[in-house]
Amino acid sequence: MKKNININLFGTLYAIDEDACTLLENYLDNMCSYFAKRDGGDEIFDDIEHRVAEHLWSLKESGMTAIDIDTVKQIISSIGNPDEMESGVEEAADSKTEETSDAEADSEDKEQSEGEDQGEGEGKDNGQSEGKAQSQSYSNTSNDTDSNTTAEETVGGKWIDRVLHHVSTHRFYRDGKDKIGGGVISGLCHYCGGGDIVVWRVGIVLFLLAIFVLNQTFRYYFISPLLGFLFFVPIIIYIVLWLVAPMARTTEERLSMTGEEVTPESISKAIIAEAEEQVKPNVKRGKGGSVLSRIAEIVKFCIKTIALISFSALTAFALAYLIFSIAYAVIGDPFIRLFTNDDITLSFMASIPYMKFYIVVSALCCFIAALLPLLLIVRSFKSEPKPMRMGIIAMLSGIWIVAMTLGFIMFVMIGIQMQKKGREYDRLENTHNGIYMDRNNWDLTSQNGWNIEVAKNFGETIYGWSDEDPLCMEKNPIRIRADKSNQPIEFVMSRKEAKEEGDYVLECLSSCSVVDATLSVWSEGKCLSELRLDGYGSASNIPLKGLLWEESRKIPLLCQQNDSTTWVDNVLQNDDWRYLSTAPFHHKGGIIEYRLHIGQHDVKDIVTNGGFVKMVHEGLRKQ
Amino acid sequence: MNIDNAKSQMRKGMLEFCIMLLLRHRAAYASDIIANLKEAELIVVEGTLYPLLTRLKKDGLLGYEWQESTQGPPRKYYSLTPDGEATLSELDKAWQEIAHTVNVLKNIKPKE
Repeated sequence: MKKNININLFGTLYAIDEDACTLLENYLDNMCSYFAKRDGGDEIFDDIEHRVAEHLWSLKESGMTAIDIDTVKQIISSIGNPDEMESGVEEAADSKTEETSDAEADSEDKEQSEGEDQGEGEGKDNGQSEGKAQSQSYSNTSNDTDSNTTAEETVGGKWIDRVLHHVSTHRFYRDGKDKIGGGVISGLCHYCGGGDIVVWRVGIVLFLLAIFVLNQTFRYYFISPLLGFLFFVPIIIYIVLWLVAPMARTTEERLSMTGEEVTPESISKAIIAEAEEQVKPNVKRGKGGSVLSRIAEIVKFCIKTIALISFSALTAFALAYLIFSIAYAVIGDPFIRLFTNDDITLSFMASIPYMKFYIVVSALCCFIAALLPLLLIVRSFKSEPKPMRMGIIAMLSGIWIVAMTLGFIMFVMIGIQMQKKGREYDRLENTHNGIYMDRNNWDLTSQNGWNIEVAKNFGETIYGWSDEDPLCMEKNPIRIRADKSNQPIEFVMSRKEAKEEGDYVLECLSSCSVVDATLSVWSEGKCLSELRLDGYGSASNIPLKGLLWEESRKIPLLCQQNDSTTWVDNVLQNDDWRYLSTAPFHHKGGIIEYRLHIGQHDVKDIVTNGGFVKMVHEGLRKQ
Repeated sequence: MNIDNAKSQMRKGMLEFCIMLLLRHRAAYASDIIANLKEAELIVVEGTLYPLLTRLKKDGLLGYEWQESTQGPPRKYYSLTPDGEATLSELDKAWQEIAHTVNVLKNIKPKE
């Protein structure tokens, strides 16, 4: 007993068996997706549907009440499958023509056997074996080996031939009929030559689990990044394939997915097989699968949407950049003047050689690198994206990689040039009296009233005043490093202050790795007193490290510090700081000048380790 | 030499010409054409016709109009356009030449 359904074709009802209906549907679907690819395909498909309707009509007229599957098979074989029909339309490649002619021979056989109802299967088998024999004899007589028809011969050859043959017969599709997520793994399984899909799934999941566990176990070893790489790369590949690879929808695509020969005969066989399979009640697939796959669809949609948004934004940015860069390249300076009137920026832009070239090329690369993925994503939103040829995929990825690489190189070039120019400009701007320091240093020295008089052989920069102050009294110590020129360094800076008459000591907190660093105090051209910052020969020299709060009370400069907690925090931890003061001396009143002099002839030590002089809270204390 | 292949190549070259020949005197619908072509053993599967018709129509050689049918679904009646007629006479000339050539060649080697 078979279920019977009514179908409506162009306004007429036909009673048809369920399996026959499924077969007819599959056949028409296959036809539709085949011709959808070409110009005028809709019309061809429509005509074919009409032809089917005519066949059904004449059967109905002749008194057939219900159409069964054999009748549908007859209709299909008389109208033909897409490849058979194509033989009259396009100048097919030689291999294809041969296939088709074989196929025609096959279908002639079929037609002959059509009369016998039962014998059709046999007839087909005969046709197939004949076709094979034919192709075998063909390949024996000619050197032109056709990958499709001479499969049996080439399998015996070198492994590379086998691989090439495998690649030429298989195409990567996601398997929509057997999927949990995106059908990527089952597609991979088919592509790699089959096997049990469950083994593949479990194997891949176990592999990922093992990698994850190993990664967690060896978290602190050098191998960890490698394991992380092994863990994430398959996942990324999976997602990318899901997004990019088409799903096998038509029978033809399913055949090339599993690597079977795509001939009219194999297509019709597969269509019939699928029809019979579909009619069977499907017990295996529980609800869990559909829920899972629905969740997967949702997740996939979310990923695609996010990717779409981010790549749209990227592309928009890249496009804006491209437009700006082209405008800059064409218009030049006036274009920049729309945004800024800063002459330095303008001359800065103009002074970099090939700047326009770098900018335009990098913009173009950015645009391509962003646009290609965007197009792929947009394409994946289409309900039935056509499969892409390997050649096109390879070409697109090639273009993308080139664009990425070129863009990266361009940005690095721009970066290097900008840095170079930037340094030049910085030097020009921050050199006073032939002394170069960075802007921050100049600001701090002038804030503290210091005037730099000499700075020799400090190379690129004098590392200036840091915010370091052991007493947190917001004064900035001087901190100096020698450069790599291996020349003796010399540094002098001075600061003036008015002091009334009296007896004074010169004191400061210092931390110093340079031997020859002195702080002196002068009045009317005479040196009143001098303090070596390494502490040698000073009247008092008290290291701050380990100095207790109570002890620190005895030192006048440190008394100003009231808070015992910051004392512990700041001072006890500081290795190098010491309190220095000279013996008392007399000052008769008026302007005094502090001079810090740093000089070192043997700079080897400084060059390798970096010499520094830190000094803070320098001043005179009345006795 | 693959005989089937050669035969199908020959047929392929002639198909469009034959279709236009069939439509020379009267409009016909696809099933008519199919019946004629099948009778002449020019096509194996019916579907072959449809892509050809679509292409001829796209080239402006054929036109069609829908007609209601008492037997089954409405039918497309195809007919030659003036362009199609011109092309047909060109093709006809070409065919004469080919036939002539073949005849001449046949007469040169009557034994084969």
